[in-house]
Amino acid sequence: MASPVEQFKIKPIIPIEIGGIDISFTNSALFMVVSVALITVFLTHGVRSRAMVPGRWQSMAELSYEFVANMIRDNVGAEGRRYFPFIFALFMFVLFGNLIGMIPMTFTYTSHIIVTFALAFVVFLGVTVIGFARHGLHFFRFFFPHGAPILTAPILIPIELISYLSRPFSLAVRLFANMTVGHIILKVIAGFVVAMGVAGVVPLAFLAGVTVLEFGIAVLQAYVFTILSCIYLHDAIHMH
Amino acid sequence: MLHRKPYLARAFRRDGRKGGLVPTMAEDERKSPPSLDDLESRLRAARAREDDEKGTARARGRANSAGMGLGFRVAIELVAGVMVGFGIGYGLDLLFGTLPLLMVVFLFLGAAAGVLNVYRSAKGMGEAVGLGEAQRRMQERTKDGSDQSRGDGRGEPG
Repeated sequence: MASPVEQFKIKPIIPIEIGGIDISFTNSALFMVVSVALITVFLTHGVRSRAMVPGRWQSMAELSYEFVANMIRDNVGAEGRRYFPFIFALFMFVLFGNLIGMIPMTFTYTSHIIVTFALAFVVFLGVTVIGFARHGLHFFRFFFPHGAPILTAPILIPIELISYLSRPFSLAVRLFANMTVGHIILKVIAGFVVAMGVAGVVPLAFLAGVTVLEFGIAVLQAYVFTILSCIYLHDAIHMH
Repeated sequence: MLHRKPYLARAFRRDGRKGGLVPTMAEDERKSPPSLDDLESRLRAARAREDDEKGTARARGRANSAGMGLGFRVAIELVAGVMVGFGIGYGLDLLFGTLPLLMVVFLFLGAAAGVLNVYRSAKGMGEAVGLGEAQRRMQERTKDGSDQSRGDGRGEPG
């Protein structure tokens, strides 16, 4: 029987090597392309008819647009509107990555920490650059709470700095851990179904329940990833 | 979202030609499409009716899943602080050649930062990591939208 972590193995589909660096087109890259293509089709096809009373697809496309737009309006404010394209792209990319991974025989690219970390690090870098661009050196006030005695600065500033630097890690690890753990649990329980023969009906029923839960987690984690990006953006723009 | 189906079934019929959903109405009404205000008020009435039946159960389910998410978040926040502290300390040690010293100092600072992050995410101050506040805002908005008081979900410890 296959190991439960074999599903995360990266396999090169088109091997490419330039200057000793392996930049092969892998199964991970393939499913990223697939998800971007699906997102494009979903959105452009969905709003093509531009009906006053939306059909199913248009309704879904509008729903996802409004969901992210409301999230930005509530958590960043009016200034956040110009960052909508990025936040929306981030949300759709993570959401589709999580959901495509729920289809058997596919690859979940969000289950690799380097992918989620790259996403989180782009958010972190962008937010920091926006913070410095908006507030200049005043942004350093961020690392020292208002009203704290100046004597506590040698301890508080490193703590606040580490707290700030740990953002991309917690953001990346949360998404990666949720997706990886969920997929391993599914595989392990599926292994029990085969091993237990007729009595495997019990884990099979359990497996059905866990699958539903995993769909919920796939959506929830995309939401959490996006809303935390919004909150970080809010901090950088408004300085608390 | 999932619970809207019975309402759709009652007030819309399937348009076989376009595959979409169109509102059903009397034959004479069909000539002029209903105004959006009218549609809006009917939607609101139906949602309020449906919320009466299912609002309580749904609010409880949401509080449960939010609590689970917060728990997982707290655990990761705590670990991330320690890891980053360790990384910074170890890096600085390699730079200055004072191997165990800064690593230990920054491990403790990292633990403090992790606890700070946990405290903030639990309190939801909207400072560094305020998911709690964001969730409260979203709940307030859904409450306003359906003009139906569903405060029971918020009182529970999340």
